[in-house]
Amino acid sequence: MKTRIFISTLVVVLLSSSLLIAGHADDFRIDSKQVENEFAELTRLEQTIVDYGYLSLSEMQQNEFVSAEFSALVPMNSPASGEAALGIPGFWWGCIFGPVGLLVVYVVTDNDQSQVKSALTGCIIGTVVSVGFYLIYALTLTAATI
Amino acid sequence: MKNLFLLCFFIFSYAQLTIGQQDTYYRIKADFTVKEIHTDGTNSITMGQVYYDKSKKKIVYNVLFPEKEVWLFQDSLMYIIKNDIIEKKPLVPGYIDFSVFNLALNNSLKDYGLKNNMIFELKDVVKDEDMVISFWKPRNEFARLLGDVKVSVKDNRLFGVLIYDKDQRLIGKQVFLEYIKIGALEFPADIISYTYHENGGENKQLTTYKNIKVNNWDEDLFYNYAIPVH
Repeated sequence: MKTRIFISTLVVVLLSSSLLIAGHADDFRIDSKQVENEFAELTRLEQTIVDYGYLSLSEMQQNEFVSAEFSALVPMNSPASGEAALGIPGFWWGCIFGPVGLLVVYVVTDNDQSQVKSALTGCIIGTVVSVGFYLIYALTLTAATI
Repeated sequence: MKNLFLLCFFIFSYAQLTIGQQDTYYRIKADFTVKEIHTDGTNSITMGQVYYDKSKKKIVYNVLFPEKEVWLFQDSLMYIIKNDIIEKKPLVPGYIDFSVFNLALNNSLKDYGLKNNMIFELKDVVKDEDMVISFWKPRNEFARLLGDVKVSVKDNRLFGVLIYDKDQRLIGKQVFLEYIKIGALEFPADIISYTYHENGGENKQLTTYKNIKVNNWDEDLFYNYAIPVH
């Protein structure tokens, strides 16, 4: 009886763990044929750019080497952030981490004025909220003891 | 005593060999093309050459299209240099360390550089079909800011990376479609990246590297690119 229970338990555990594992590989799969089709127009343009010796986009457009559909071409987004440090807005860096957060924003964003200003605002608001909280807490404690 | 000597000799030789292999490749140059399809339906293409020397930790893009300019990634800054005009932008932290160039030259591409980092820790490894998938979680202090990362390895090479936000919503996916072998170094030739937006839209980016050269002594000007001084 004990052996049967043990085996049943083992089967259930194995089945449930295999169910958990199943599908992980599928998350990574992509249809490379579909990717090729989606980028086909851009791949043709890539060849045209090479054929014309890397003329600039404006020169290509002036000479009508690129069709009208590529007139919406925008330069690649640069990987530079220009945004928030570690994806967190400056305000919250300042609000949660105080002066340390302010320093992080200053260093990471290379003194991006708008981010540093937001962090400073966050730092002030965070400090005011903390002081307010402790004041209320202290007053409540005092009232309780009286 | 003789056996002890032999053991020491083998350990020393193995250590030398391992260190030697890691130091074999220190420079890489490639022609690159980045094609992008944006959520709003616009497309973009950027082409040129990229240079990286791991001892200098500078990524230099000699951009030829859409405009001729140089992009220099150094420390925490990106410099855009065009006709002697220099524009400076703050850089995403870790951009150079986690770049495909730095990871490949430091033999860390297979684990996406997560093995020796202070932010993520390995939680689980499973084998599913033809892939080995590792699950990385941000360490306690970073869990409030970052989500999990899943890394898959196929044929003993990095195949894909899934990046989640702190609410475990998938925000990015990278798949390394093809590799080029240069000596003992394997470098990705085609990388497809997806960025998923909160509103349901997605950006697709296909990066292609061709004509890859390693350890070339030419073109020092780019490997050691210096910001022009006026």
